[in-house]
Amino acid sequence: MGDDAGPVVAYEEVTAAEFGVRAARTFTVEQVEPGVLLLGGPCPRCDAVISIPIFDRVFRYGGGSAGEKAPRYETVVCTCDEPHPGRPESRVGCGAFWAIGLREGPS
Amino acid sequence: MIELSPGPVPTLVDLRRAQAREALLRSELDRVRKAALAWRSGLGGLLVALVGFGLIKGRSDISGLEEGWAVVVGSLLGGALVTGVWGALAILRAAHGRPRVAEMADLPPLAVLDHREALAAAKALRAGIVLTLGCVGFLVAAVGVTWYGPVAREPALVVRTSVGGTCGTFVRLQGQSIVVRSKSGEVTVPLSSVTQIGGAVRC
Ligand SMILES: [Zn+2]
Ligand SMILES: [Zn+2]
Repeated sequence: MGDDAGPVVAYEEVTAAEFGVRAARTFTVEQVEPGVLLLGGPCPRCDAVISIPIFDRVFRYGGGSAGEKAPRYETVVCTCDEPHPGRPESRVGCGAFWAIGLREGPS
Repeated sequence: MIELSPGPVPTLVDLRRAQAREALLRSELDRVRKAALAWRSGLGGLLVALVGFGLIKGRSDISGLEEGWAVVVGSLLGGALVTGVWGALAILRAAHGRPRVAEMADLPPLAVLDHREALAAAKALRAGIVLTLGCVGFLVAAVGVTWYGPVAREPALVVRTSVGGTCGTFVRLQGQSIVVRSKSGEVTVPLSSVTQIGGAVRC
């Protein structure tokens, strides 16, 4: 019953070339510490501001090797906390996903 | 400086992979903690069983051991104590974390903090497992040496006379003489010639 800013976006796993283009323009990236990047910006579908940490290593219990290098292209899924009707229990976000390219620029 | 660019339109496979990675990240700290708790119970049980086993069977103290070996057992038990305490602390640190105060200004997002903590906890857990197993090794070695180490020999007898001395074990008193078994056989020393009788750990 709040002051909703627009129509309710239902949960739907969708992608579009436009998502990637918009995110590349609006997202920022920051190196938090060695091996940890933080992407941040508004979701191109639901507009919620999300932050996506990208790690080199993730702990896995019971086998599996840690040490996966961050790929050049990252698939990003929306991880907003807002309610999106139809979202499965185990998921977060609005369902939007896209890819973003990370490149070491001239520093 | 990292530049962002639009990526190719991802496939459903890419989506599932990203979702799985996201779920893995979201739950990793929880999983490390649970793993640490499981290891804590398992290794604790192992130690309790081992201590119980060591107390029930075999020689229960080191007073029957030859002196040098008693020192070895003491060192092994010391090693077990150090690795045991250190290992237990490491596993507790993995299971429950470490209280920490951070500057608000440069506090990274929770996901980053949780991930950092998960990696630290996983490291502590690995160290704790190795240390606890080291403690088990020390205990097993200590118990083994206590059971199978050489028995302390009877103290040797040193009988000195004005012309020299004899070292060996007491055999008997024979008339006015004392019979001592030395390395070169039984030696009979007349008591009248004895100037001093003493003991020695070994000849
Ligand atoms: Zn979204
Ligand atoms: Zn959303």
